Amino acid sequence: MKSRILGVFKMRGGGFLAAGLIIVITIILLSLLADVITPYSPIKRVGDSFIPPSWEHPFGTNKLGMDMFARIVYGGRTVLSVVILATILSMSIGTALGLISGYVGGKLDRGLSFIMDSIYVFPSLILAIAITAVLGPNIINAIIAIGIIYIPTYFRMVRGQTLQIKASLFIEAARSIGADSLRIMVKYILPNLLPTILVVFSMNAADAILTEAGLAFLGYSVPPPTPDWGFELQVGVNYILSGYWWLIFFPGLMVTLLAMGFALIGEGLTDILNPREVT
Amino acid sequence: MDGEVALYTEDLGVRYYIQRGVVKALDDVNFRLYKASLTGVVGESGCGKSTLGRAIIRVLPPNGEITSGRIIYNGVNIVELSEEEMRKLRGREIGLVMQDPMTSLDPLMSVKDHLLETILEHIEVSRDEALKMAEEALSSVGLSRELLKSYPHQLSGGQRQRVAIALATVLKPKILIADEPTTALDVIVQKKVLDLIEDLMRELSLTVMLITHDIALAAERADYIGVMYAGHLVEYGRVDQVIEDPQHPYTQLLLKSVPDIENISMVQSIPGLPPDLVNPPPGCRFHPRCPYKMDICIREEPKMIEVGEGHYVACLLRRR
Amino acid sequence: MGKLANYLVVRSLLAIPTILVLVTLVFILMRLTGDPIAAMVGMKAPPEVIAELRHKAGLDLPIHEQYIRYITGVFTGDLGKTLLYDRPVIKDILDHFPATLELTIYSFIISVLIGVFTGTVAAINQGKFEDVLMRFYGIFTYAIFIPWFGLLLQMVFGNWLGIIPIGGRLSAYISPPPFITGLYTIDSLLTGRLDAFFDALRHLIGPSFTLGIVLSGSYTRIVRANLVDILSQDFITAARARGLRDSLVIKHALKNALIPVITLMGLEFAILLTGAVLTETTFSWNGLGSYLVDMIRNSDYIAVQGTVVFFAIFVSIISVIVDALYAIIDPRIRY
Repeated sequence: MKSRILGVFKMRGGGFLAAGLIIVITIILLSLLADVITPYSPIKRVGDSFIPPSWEHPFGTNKLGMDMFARIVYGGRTVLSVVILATILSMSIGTALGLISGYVGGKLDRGLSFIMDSIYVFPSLILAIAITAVLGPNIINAIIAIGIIYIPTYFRMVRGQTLQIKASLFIEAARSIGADSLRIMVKYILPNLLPTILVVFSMNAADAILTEAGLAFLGYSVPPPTPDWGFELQVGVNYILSGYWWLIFFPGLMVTLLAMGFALIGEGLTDILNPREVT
Repeated sequence: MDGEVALYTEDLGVRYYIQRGVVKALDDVNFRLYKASLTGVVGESGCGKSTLGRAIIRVLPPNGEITSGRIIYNGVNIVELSEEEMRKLRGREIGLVMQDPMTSLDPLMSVKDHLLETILEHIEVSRDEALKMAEEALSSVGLSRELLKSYPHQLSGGQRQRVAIALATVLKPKILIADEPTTALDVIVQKKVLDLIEDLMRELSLTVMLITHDIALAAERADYIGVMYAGHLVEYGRVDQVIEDPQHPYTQLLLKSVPDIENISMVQSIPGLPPDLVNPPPGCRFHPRCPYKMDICIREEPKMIEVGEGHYVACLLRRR
Repeated sequence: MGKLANYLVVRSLLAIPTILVLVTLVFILMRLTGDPIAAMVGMKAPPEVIAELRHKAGLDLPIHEQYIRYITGVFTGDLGKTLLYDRPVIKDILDHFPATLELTIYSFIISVLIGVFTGTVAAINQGKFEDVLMRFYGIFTYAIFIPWFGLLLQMVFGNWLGIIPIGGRLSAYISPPPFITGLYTIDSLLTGRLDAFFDALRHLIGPSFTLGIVLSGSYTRIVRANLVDILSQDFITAARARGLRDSLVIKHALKNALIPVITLMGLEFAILLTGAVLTETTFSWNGLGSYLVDMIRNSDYIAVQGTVVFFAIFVSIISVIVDALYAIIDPRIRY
């Protein structure tokens, strides 16, 4: 009877990771191969308006007679590029600042930490909206906005880990043989942070996807007719009473699936890298 | 001279399931507790002595399970009792005191609530009667009733351990399992807590199982001693038999590792480390560290044999 | 209890620097492009209109004077006047805030109830099927896109089944209860307007379950992690060894596991507000989130700045309240 438990123990981390990877890779492939997968253009009328899902149009068509499936696979490109660029932005700035802050310590550390904590507790989407509103709503500014709001996520984690590693013996050793600060940070501390950065990255990618979709839903990402999942939902709001469910169901499902894929990867990695619960 | 047996185990086996595999925490343990006596169970950490105590009261961690053997108490195999039947035995018939008094009380509950809860869970008395029992229990462990309202963080380590003992004995159980009850305390408090356990033992005719890594302490306090190594009970007997005439090489080494005031230079530590119980060594589990290792020790698992009256040892050297 | 009062005063004072940092950040942010008015109104507007707007917003003053005016304004409750309607921003905010508060309170309760239940089921079945299922629930709800879930609820329960209204706070044929707190469900009860109470409650179902379910996943995870940790502690083993029944042991564990959850509620509240913006927009809920979105559409920079500042202060106040709760509940805390 208990051997069943054993099976689940083994399956857990790996299972979550595998499921997450399958979802994320499938969506990435769909977007990359959009031209091959669908014969339709995402921004041209290809049939009647509001055709329900059929073999011809698996996700139906919208008011302008555009194929929703085509809009969704092409829309994946928008979402993925915004999210990937934004997370790279927050990851690099957050990691660099966290590393320096934790390593140098003192007043700089206290000041930076205080600012980062203040941003961290602030509702992220509201901040992102404010930033795009000021900078102007377009794709570059959406990337910048999402990039900025998640800097503290990386900063806090990297700073904490740096403090721990800094205190360890091998850093003392490196310092005693005369390695300079930059060298210690990049060559000795950074590699040790990578596994945790990986976990934070996958959880953060999920947040970033939801924020991008939120911005798009409110109309602050790419301008129409460029396909973008969150924006499709804003259009879909008008069709609740008409019952055109496919205009709402599929774009939102993709946002949720992609975010879930990254969250599953994060969960799986946490289990594998840090198996504390199952001694 | 031996008294009646209060509880005994037969070929008891316990397994823990971890990510790396299955830990063979206990194997073929035949152990007994005599009524109204104190039995010391000694061994290095990880040898299974705590597991044995936890198995007897059936509060193993969630990933642990009794996989074989029987535990006989009052003629009943308690391994087969339902969870609800077993629950009624816990606290009422068998009590447990744990090692670290800092963590064995609920930090959000007062001493009074701890005691009342335990009493009211098992017997039907009014709150006032329960409160009286709680006060008596506190005074029986040498604490004043003023402490009833205290929270654990307001008590000292020794006071907390006394509260833990009061909790384990408030319903006057027959058996008390004390798992390293003094390890976390300082030396003077240690002695007082052990004196208290011995007093309670006499007063309530308790049967005490004292789990400790300190063979000298067991030698001083116990009537019987069981020595455990790597999930096996390797030697068991009256304290004079085990201490004055140790038969197992491991017991002998344990005794030599006790610091002696007159002969401090003679202290020896046992070379090597206890084995990994996911993959225990074949044959006798002690053979990799045994100074008297023979070829047969690698192939054959030694069984317990009686070498004197009530003195048992599991070692191939003693086989006739 | 004098000590507790002391602690609360000190803790409240400590919130001031945080608020200062946040409002300063908002100030800097709003001036990142040099001229927020131009950025928001667009280059097409005639220069004299822009100049007038700049003057009204005080943007023609030197930057340090702008900052001082702005900070004194924030601390005296003067957030300026909207560019479009010339109304005090703080009045608009206070008009819209009760709707947001009502939504967030109900969502919060729903998320905590579901989260504690699912997290407990997961933890006491650690490693079994139920655990994996609940962890999956945690991950799934974490990833739900709020507008999607909200619109699906509207479609299924509103349009097809006709059980809940599709949006808004109150049906058109029901007059709002007299203003006391601004929370319809409370005001209607206080004034005995049962028709308004039930109607308001019906309108709350969709948005508060949307937001509540989405946020419950975080509580599932936190409660599970804390409970797993607590369940492995000695005092739980000791409680079991005293023969306490499982339900009582779990009560002990849960009490202890929920204390750290309280600290997290502050942070969760920020996520709740983020979610509220999307939920309000999805359900035409006329709260502060909808207001913010509208004001951005109107390019009303003063109103946007004021609303964001208000959110910042609100979050800080919540974190003070959370800390106070923590201090009151846990007997180990000494202030």
